[in-house]
Amino acid sequence: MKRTLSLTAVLLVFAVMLAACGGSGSSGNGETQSASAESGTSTNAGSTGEKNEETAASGEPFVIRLGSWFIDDRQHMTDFKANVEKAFKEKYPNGTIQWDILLSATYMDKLKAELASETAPDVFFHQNTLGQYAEAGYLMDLSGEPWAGKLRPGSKIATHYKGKVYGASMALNAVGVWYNKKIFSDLGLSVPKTWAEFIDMAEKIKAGGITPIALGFKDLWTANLFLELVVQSIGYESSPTYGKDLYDGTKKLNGEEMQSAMRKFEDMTKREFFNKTALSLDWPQSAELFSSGKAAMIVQGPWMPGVAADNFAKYGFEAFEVGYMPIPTESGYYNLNISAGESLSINVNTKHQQAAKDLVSIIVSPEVLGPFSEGNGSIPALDGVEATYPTPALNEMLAAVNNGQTSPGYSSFIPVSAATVTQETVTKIVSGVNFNPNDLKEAQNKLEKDKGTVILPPE
Amino acid sequence: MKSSAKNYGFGLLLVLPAMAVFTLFIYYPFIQSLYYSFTEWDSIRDPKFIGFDNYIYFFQDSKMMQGAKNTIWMTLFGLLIQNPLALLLAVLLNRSFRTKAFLRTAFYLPVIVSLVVASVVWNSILQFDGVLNYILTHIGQEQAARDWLGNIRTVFPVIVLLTQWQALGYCAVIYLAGLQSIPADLYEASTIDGAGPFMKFRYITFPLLMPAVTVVVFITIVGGLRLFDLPYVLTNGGPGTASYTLTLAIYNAAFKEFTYGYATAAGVVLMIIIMIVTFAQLRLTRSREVEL
Repeated sequence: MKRTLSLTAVLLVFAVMLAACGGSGSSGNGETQSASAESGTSTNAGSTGEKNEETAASGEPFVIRLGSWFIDDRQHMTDFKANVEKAFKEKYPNGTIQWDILLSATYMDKLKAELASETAPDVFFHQNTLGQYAEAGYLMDLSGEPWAGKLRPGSKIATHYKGKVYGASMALNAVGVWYNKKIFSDLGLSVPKTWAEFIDMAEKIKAGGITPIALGFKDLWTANLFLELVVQSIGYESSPTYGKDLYDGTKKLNGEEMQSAMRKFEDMTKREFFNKTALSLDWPQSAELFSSGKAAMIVQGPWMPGVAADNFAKYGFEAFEVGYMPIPTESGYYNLNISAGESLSINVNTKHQQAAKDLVSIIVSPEVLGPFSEGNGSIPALDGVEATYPTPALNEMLAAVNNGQTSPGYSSFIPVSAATVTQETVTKIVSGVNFNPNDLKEAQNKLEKDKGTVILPPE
Repeated sequence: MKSSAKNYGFGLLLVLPAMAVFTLFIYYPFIQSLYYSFTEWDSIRDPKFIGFDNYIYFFQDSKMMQGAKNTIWMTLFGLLIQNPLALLLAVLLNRSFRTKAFLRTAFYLPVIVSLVVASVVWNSILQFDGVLNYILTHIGQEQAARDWLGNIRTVFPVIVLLTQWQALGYCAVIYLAGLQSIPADLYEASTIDGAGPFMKFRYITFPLLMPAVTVVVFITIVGGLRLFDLPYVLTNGGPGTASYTLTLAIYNAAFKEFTYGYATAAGVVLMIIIMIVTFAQLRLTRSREVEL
């Protein structure tokens, strides 16, 4: 009998513990969500928050967490960390930054789980999720911050939601074709002005025994960069509101613009402009192929000249000057998508509200963001932050941005599921299969099915 | 009667902790998943109820259908080719010969090799400038050289063969254990009765091996229907959707395309398919099992 009673007691304690765990989780979450959703909110500290604010201000040691996925050990990144820490220490001698860095795409999944369980870092970087996180009430309203009025219009998609500022953007990026100037000079080539000239130029490179374009489509996002670069020009040449037209249904993903882009990929594949390892190389391997001089061009973001310089030093390749060009249409028109890079937001539940705001201000200050942009090859997303690029290629990119047209990327108007189908269609074509327009029907179907998941870019 | 009720209550108490854990970590999430499968949900914002739309779209989605087609091929190949081969291998490894121990280890080795290591090695063998094409070129078969994982026609057959490389030894070991549990005196008696090798296999080995067959067929079917890791690591379903499997399509729908509601609905459909197929298989194979 005694045994039975003891056992019953143990079981009861166990059951109560389980119930307590479940109860605390759900009620806490519910309360915080509703509070943040209602207020927006920068005044959601509660008593614990106030106490911690006092701690930060009173001189007691405190730790502030900063989450990121891209701060690695490249020189400009380590400089960035050192600059941030130095400036923060000057402002808060009792404060320490804990860098919660996970160098992989799983960072985004981890962050999502942390936000849902209220364990996210105080300040965190994220990408393409500002609208969703703001709508879910996870982000602090930063509209009143001094830097908020300096955000460049191109960064709105990564900073604004329903007229309020929920984050700062680190960079504006332009994708393009980076080319080996030595190969161009040796073969007597110049930057093409039309699609026909582009094809002609690539034929001459191939005839010179060099792979015209290095692809690393094992990483599907690289296929997306290339596709977007081609479609952006074709689409916006056909309509100045191509992206919105896709969303509204007046243009279709299986329409003439996307088909034209796919036929270009088919043509380039048939002409053997790509490395035969295109689908089994990942992005670093394709960058290595370009840096080695075995391929004359690569389609990448503005980080490419820096990566090439790293590869020259790392693998002992003969260094060459890198150039930049957009891809023109048949008529010579081009349109570049100036995409906003990482968003930097503050967790609405942070216990160090003022310190978090100061940390964001430090990161977007000219002293910190300027050198970061120079090293990263990105355009600063804030007015008043200047960058002097070490490589001429980045100035060529800026010139192309200034001389051509720029529009919001068409892919920000369509669901990810639809964009994925178009990318997969490209990889299928590059594998040697003829383009079948029916493949794009699936993309249009996905667009119509998942349209509700799209948060339109702010105007 | 009183004592029986008391025992029942005590039994219930014993089951309670396990029930609590299962409810918390299995049943509650499962029921919640059923709800999400009827919603449009990106895992960040609140789910929006859309009725049976996800289930209807599942059967119109060419990606899911391509994944389902590959999954069926994979499962059929496992049943019709891998399964008999594993049995044959087990029968051979059950005989007495000098290198028996070495061969048993060699065939089992792929099972313990880490998936990441295996995929890196196979990738370097199968890519365009890999070992396989190097050999083909040096034996005068240059025209056969290709990017084996980057070609829409070869990618899935190659992945199927790689799964066999891993699964064959595993299934053979289960068959081997089954073979070794058959008493030798049955064979001796049948020899005295004049039975030949085929008769012995047909009337002694096969019936007594049916419990092992049940297990292996079950593992093969469920493994085939759930194939995810190799295509995920080697090709992520590409080129195009050529190496998609149903589980990979579900994973991508959730974690790449952020359509969690739809992915959950597809997961429910897959669960129902696995339940139906394995139920039928277990009924069929168990009815043929015999006991000594």
